[in-house]
Amino acid sequence: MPDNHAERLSDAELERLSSDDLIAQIRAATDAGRSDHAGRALAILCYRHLDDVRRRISLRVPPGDVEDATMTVIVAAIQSAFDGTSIGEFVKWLNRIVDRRGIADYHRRREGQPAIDRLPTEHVGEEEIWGKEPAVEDETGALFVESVAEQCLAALSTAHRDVIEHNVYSDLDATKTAARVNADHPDLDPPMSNDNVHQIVSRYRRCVRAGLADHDPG
Amino acid sequence: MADVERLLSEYIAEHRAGGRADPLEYLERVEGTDRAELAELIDAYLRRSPGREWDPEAFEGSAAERLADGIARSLQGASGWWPMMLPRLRDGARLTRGQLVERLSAALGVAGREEKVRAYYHEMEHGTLPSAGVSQRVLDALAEIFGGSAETLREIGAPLGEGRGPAGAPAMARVGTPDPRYAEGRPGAPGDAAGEAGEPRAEPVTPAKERDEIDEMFTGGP
Repeated sequence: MPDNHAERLSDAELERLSSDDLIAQIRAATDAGRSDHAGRALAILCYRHLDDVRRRISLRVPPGDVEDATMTVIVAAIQSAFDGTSIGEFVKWLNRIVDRRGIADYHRRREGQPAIDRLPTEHVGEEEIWGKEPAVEDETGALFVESVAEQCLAALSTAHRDVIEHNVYSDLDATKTAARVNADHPDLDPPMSNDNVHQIVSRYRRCVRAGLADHDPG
Repeated sequence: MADVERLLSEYIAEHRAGGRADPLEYLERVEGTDRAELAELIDAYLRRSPGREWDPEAFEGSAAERLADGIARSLQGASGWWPMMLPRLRDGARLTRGQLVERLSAALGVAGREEKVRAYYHEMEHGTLPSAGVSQRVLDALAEIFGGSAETLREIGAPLGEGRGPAGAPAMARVGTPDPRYAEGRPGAPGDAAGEAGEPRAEPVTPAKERDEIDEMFTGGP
């Protein structure tokens, strides 16, 4: 990270910064009155995250609300970075705000109205719930919906979690997954095999499906 | 389950290739528990995404550019998040700026003098009117029109310099693509006569000796 955030960085230099460093760059440049510097960092930050936030939001709200909710989430996350709520954890905060709305009943029972937990941001006309976005872990039942996949992952050993990360979320085949895990965990005895990978992934996915079934309001 | 595995792989491949990677297009191909599982796995995959690589050409004219411009205007202006929030609140209330000004003027007891109210409100949406000067009466009237809290409006209008963000800023954010039906006079819109984005107003609307109650309500403070 550069020592002087108000210093003008090239696009290539900004692109190499983490999102937290981009936020730091924006804050420093804004404080220094260098709106031109802040603007470019802000542009890269927004461009970096907008599409994936939109995709995740599309899993949660009706199509007509996706764009608005997406922008709202990103502004909320940036605002949190500026008011000190989330310094140093922009992406985590961004994800948390999205997560607050579990993957909606909308996509489980599409014929019905989405029974979703709306962000305070979206209750513009309802004074009693005009408030700050949640600053702590969600206090409502909405959290369990988002975290079924993460909960199943958290229950695994480190080596088994790595199997899921490589095989499911990085889409490596079983052979490459086993090789990576064995390289990262040389003490595994016996070493990870292709069969082990398939079994671990199969158990993980059963866990996810069972979790989703348990929490299905329908 | 095999379908889910295959679809997730295809989704990841499209996402990595920079394609649209619209999750809904994939969810359409499965039903029931499979759809729920695929949604969960795609979401978990996207949660791990580092985001899009910077492409200045693709950025130009994109939704990301509009978003970044709006946030920049808020960061640089004298009115905190008002430039981001007020146009969206107005959209949410399904009001053009003209309709909003008409209702605001009536609420403030200055019906018939809309042009002056319009000028001040215009500055609020552009972030050029120092928020500290806007009276409680104006904020109460706006809150009534939008359906919310004047205190929150006050908070989100606090200038953001030196990293001081207002605590409730996003609570009223409605910052999606503007509804063109209500985009009249939107900052940056064609025909927008405002000054540079975020530049605090240099001259008062009215010379000091001619100030009236409208000037007081918009620049005289509490």
